[in-house]
Amino acid sequence: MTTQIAFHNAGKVFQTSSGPVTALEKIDLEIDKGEIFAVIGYSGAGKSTLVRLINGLERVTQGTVFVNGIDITHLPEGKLRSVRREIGMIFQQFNLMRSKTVYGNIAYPLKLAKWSKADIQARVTELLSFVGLTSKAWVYPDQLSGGQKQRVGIARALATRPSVLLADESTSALDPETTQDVLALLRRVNEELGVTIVVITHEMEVVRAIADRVAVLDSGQLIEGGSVDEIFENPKAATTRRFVNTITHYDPEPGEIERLQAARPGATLVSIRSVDPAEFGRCLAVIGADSEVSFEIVRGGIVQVKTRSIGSFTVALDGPAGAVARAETSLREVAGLAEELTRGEHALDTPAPGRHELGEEPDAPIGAEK
Amino acid sequence: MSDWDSIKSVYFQSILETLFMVVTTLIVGGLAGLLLGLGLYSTRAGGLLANKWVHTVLNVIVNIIRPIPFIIFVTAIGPLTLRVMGTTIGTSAATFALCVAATFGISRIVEQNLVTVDPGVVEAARAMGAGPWRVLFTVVIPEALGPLILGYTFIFVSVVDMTAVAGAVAGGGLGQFAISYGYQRFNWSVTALAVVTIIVLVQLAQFTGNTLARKALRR
Repeated sequence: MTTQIAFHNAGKVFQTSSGPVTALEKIDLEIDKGEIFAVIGYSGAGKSTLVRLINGLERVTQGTVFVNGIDITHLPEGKLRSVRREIGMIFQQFNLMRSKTVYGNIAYPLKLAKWSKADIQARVTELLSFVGLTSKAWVYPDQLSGGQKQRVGIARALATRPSVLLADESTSALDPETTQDVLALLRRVNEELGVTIVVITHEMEVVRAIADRVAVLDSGQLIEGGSVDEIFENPKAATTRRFVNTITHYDPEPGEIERLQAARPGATLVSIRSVDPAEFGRCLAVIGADSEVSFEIVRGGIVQVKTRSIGSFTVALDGPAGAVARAETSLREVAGLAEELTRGEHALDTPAPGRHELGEEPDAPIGAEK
Repeated sequence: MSDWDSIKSVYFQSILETLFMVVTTLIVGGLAGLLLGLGLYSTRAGGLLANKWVHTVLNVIVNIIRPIPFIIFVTAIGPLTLRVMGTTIGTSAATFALCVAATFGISRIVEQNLVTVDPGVVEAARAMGAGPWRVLFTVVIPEALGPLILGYTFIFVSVVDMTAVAGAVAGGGLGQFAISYGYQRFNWSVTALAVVTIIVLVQLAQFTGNTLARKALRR
């Protein structure tokens, strides 16, 4: 893997009328050629600034940025323009020119790059067919749906055959179904054309659906990063866990466990997390085999992330105290990440095997082994 | 109108003079105002050619000249008119003053319309590697074309008004026609004729402007 984009100790401070504002600091990041790299963060975390450092729409005030081996940190504006032609960009609000047709929008970067009229026509036709909008060539953007506009945006960004595509919240203005269509198109761009894609988003679903690696940006700093599998499997920072939880629902909503417990006063709630669906089966087999214990699955779900299925479920175990404790022990033997959430009345007096204290702090890592 | 035959040729001559003044002002002042407006728009903070000092200077100049009532301006600029045009009376001299005054008025209208262009579209063009001038002329102006046409139509009406004022200082045109042959000779029907002619001119301009703007906006 060769590195395509690299940040070394990069920082950005904006000078505003109310004093300097630090947007980004100490950013160290390497994005490999051909991967889909996601940067996730809440609004105001600095994501949009970060992605604009790559094509020099914003300049670092500290550190360096390399693109395709070129140090763009101090590149003069004129030279930067040729770097920008190597980098396509798409936007949340599509940013199409309303005064130009779909054809005119896609042809614009080619005119900038001084392509001949015949070459432009061939290329635009090819791109329109790639994004599935051949019939819309002479339509104005106002007549297109959001999803179609973003397809035009993608075609325009790819026109000059860039090696990098920057996607700044490219699906945030779209409905869920259209989001999936656009994400599928981005995946094709990556797989069929080999374009490196940098995705900026606040939606973990986008990360799950297309990214290879992800970095979490919080208050201008990268707090965690890794392969999407790793991050989903074992998110460490509180912000990362909140993002992962939006997909996996590992962490219950406030009051959820209390309500589940209140509905089954006698039962003990045990939660099992795994990255191996077979483990769930083995867990169910173990407790199912125990004739003294009855169980009920009360919450949970399994999501597909890249190569694996990751998920969790919570069972309410009921029966004599000793039997519940025994069942818990067997669950722990089968599943690496089993933990007791609350203890039911029927099991109150027995010492729990390796009991965890939970539910006090909202950010306490559920399932983290201490 | 009893003396129609004697004033007929003056009337048509006046229409031509007014049209000459308006069209020349819209072309010369229109282009100069467009450039000045582009300057105001692009040098503002965060603009394509952001430059605090240039922007401040342009802004102050426009703010000083634009509010001067035209009847004062046309006399105040007299010495400059004399140097450039060789005279301070007549249609050409008035047209010079009109062009200068219109430039400053138009620059504000242009600026106001350009700032409504979505900054995201400008950013997209920059991201594609377009330089600032390229962005101004191939993105910003085309994107603002509809409102710009309406702005220029508005200016057309103002310029017709200004040409009538120019008549007061011997600039010729329908304004002078109405004053010399209508007001000063107590010939109300001549005044009415001038008024109706101006109304027709303005209506035609407004209709043309609206049509073009609708085309540009495709609505």
